[in-house]
Amino acid sequence: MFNFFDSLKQKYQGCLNRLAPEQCVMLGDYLFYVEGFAGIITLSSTAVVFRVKNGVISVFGSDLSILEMTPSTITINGKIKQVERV
Amino acid sequence: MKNMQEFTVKNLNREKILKQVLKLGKISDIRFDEDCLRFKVPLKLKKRVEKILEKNGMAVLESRQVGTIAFLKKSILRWGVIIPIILFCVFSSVLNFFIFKYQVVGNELVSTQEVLQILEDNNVSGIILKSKINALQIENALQKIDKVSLVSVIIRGNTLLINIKEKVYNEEYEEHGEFAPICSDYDGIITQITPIQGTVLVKVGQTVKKGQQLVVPQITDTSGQTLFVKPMADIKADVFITTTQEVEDNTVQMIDTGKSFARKEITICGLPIYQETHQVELTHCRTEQTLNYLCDGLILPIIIKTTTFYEQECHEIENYFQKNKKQILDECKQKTRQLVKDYEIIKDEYQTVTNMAGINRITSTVVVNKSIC
Repeated sequence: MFNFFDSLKQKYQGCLNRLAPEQCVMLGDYLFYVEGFAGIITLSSTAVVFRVKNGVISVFGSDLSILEMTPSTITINGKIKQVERV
Repeated sequence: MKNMQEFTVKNLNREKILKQVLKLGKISDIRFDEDCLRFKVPLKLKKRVEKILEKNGMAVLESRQVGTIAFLKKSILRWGVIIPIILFCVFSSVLNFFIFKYQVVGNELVSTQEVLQILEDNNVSGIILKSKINALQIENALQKIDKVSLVSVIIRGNTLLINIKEKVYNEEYEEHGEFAPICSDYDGIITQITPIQGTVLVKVGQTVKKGQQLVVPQITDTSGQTLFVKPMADIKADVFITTTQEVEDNTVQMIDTGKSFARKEITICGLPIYQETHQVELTHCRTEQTLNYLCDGLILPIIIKTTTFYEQECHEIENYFQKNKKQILDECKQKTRQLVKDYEIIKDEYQTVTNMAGINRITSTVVVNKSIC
């Protein structure tokens, strides 16, 4: 089965040190998928803030909802306007 | 459609709740607005999630199943489905109380009509309640048929199944006392005996006469009991087929002289209405008669009977037998051979001639081996 992150690592081996412990994928402006999820901080229909291993990711937009949440992954759905990692 | 449990809870400290629920497993379709939080968890986590919510004092606004099972439950609980199911069950159960069909199996000698007639006599016909059927009574009634050995009556679904086992007649032991012994059809000497059934009274080499008993219709079993059986055996013997002819030494031969005359007689329905009456004086004569219908198509048959008298003379022939001996013997032999059937093989053949007081007695004998019973 095709693995998106494995393919990326294979292709960009030189940049491996600069890859963050969490991995994110954003499809258009409506779906945001994160691996390395560590816990929810804030939930609202305009902002979803959650922890990752070495920081915090904030997703801003409108009509936000969480499609799926497991102990290590989160999939956010809605009209995404801004993603911020600190 | 996965089977999930959807919870809708009041929107208080939702991050904490989700964190605790997340420890149990995956959470799907999390939606939140200002008033409430809605999320789905696998069905197996339902009770554990409820405990967490209860422990944290969360007010559960709604808790419902979603997925295939929930859909089926919801569908089944609809009146449109329930009523036809109930009606079907009621209809089926009511139908199960009745017999609609009668099936008779295993009958060959007993006709189905006969069996159905007996059922009708016992008030079992058409559509009838199962409770009104007394299988034992029907079995007893059917047992009274002579040809029936065993019978069983079973109710299978809406069918009354009548299984009949008919009697198997044993020819050996049935109709005892009605068999005649096997008797010889010919005179002869027995050459071969193949007993099949019964007691054989003769042995190989024995001379038997026509009509003599060969096999009697009885046997004695190991317990000493005498049983009457149909006698059966194949007994072959050398059979003597004889013909006898007597020829005198001197014989008289009648020869026509050539003189003849006719006498006519007319009859209606056998009654004579006219007859020629002239007298005829002949020492020896032979006659011939011819019948002629006077006219075809008459209602009353008028017949003309013509009797022709031929005058004859006697001529004595001396030593007739000696002169024609060969021809006479051949004729006698041929007469004897005519009594032998095509498929029989002639074993031996001979002729004897005895003379007594001027009369020659020719006995022609053919020996064939054939079945004599």
